[in-house]
Amino acid sequence: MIARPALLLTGVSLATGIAAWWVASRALNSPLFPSPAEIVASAKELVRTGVLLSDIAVSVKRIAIGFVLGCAVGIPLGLAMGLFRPVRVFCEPIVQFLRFVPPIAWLIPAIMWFGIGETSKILLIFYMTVFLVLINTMAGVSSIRRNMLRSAESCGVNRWQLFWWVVFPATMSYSVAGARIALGNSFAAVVGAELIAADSGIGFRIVESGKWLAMGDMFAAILILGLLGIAADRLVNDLTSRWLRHYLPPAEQHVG
Amino acid sequence: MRRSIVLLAMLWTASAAAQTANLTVGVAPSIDNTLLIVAVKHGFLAKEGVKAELQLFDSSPGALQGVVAGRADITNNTEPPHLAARARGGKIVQIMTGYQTGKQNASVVNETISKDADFIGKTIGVQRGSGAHYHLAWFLQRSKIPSDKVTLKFIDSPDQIAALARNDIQAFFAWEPYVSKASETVPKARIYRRNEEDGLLFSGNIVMREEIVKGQRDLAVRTVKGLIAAADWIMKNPMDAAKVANEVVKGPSVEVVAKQIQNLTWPGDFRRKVRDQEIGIAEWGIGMGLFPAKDATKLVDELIDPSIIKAAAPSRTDF
Repeated sequence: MIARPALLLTGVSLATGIAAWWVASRALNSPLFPSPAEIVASAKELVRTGVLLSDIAVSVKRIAIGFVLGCAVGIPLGLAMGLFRPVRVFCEPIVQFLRFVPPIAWLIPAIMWFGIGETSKILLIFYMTVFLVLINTMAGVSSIRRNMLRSAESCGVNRWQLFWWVVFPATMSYSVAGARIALGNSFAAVVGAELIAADSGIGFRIVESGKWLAMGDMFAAILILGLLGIAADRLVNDLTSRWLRHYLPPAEQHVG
Repeated sequence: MRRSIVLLAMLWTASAAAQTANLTVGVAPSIDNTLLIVAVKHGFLAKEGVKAELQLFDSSPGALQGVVAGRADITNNTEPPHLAARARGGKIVQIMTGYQTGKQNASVVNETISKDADFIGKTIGVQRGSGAHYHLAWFLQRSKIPSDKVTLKFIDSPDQIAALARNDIQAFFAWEPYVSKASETVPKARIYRRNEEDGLLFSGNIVMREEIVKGQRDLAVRTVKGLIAAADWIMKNPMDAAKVANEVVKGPSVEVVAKQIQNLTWPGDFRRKVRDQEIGIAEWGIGMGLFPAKDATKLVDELIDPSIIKAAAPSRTDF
């Protein structure tokens, strides 16, 4: 629940942003800088024709699959690399190399290797997600105090119980933090991914509208992308707070 | 005596400065922009008293956006982008033809296609809304292939080669250098037909800010005179033109650029047939939802202004 003064301040902040945009569009009077009213009209038209909802569905599906796969690979691999030195030594050079190569650099190889279908687009979002989650999870394992492990061992737990009761809960807040950052970046990556032979999706709509100087459509799509990002972050935050609340520190449960 | 000479020199300089007008010429590093590049770099605009400077953009659509935004005064583009810009309120005017070509666009196919009927059931790549897309629509209509008998995949031209190599598409419609590159690099791929073989000529057109055309008519007329002189020079000296253009285009070699320049003709004119074809393209674009307009003829007539070339060189137009 947001307190009333905070709600008021948020409203004033949004109104200021919209007013500044309106003033700038009036001052420039250019088809390249549509007013907020024109952007809303474009958004309404895109909704009416079904284009926007279809774009949202396509992009959300791509982000969701890429993000979930990224987490599904990043968390176990991060745990394995954090817990087992041979795994870390084996994987680290490749991980360290790849995490500094941005997804955009893989656009052309992706289309060459995986074609113009969904695979190449989802792969880029997976790539964006996996390293952030993996590195954070590894950092979570390293942060576990040895005393905590020793006291658990002194209670007679086996290796599996040690993992399930100590290591996993201790790393979860790190993995969740990595996932949230990765989710934000996935929304950036989807624009790049939808440069590849896409004929739908929010990223495609932004690029295509720009090509045809349909600036109202372009800004409507940008607006939607931002709103979707906020909504997705809230959703992940709520889901992790609900399902993983036993594993997260109290402050983490209320980050919003 | 000396004082008189100095005074005369000052008056002459002031008068020359008054006659010199500034023009920012928006170009992308592409052969299509050879006319504008040569006109600036080889001094054809300067000879007409136009002090022009090149403003480099990353792409031709980028240069067009630059003109709409007022960051450049003049550029060259094909019909669909500037029809779209005008339909969306861009204050631009088409004042002459930059180039014409029957060889620049082509269809490229793999081994599964040997005749028109083989296109049925195939997936064809094309950049949405481009001249190549119009070529594809024209080809299907001419070959009597219903559009629902092929699958279109909208892909930017550079990515079409990889898609053809992977057999994600079996043909694509695009322009040079991509069509030649595909036929050289993709096994069993070949150029199926150039646009002139399909009975289609494409134009690159010179568009200028409407504010200049209406408010600085003399500058517009002098610019067109300079461009006509540059066009005639390119036609006579393609190798020299390639050397000048390659300073901006940065092609693999001057010879390659010269060959590409010779694929185009540089008429230095503005003919009615260009308007007629543009109306056809406008009708197609409106039907596709590319341009928010209802009347193709009205849109084209708002865009084109042959009065400038009529004033600059009446023999170069039949309007």
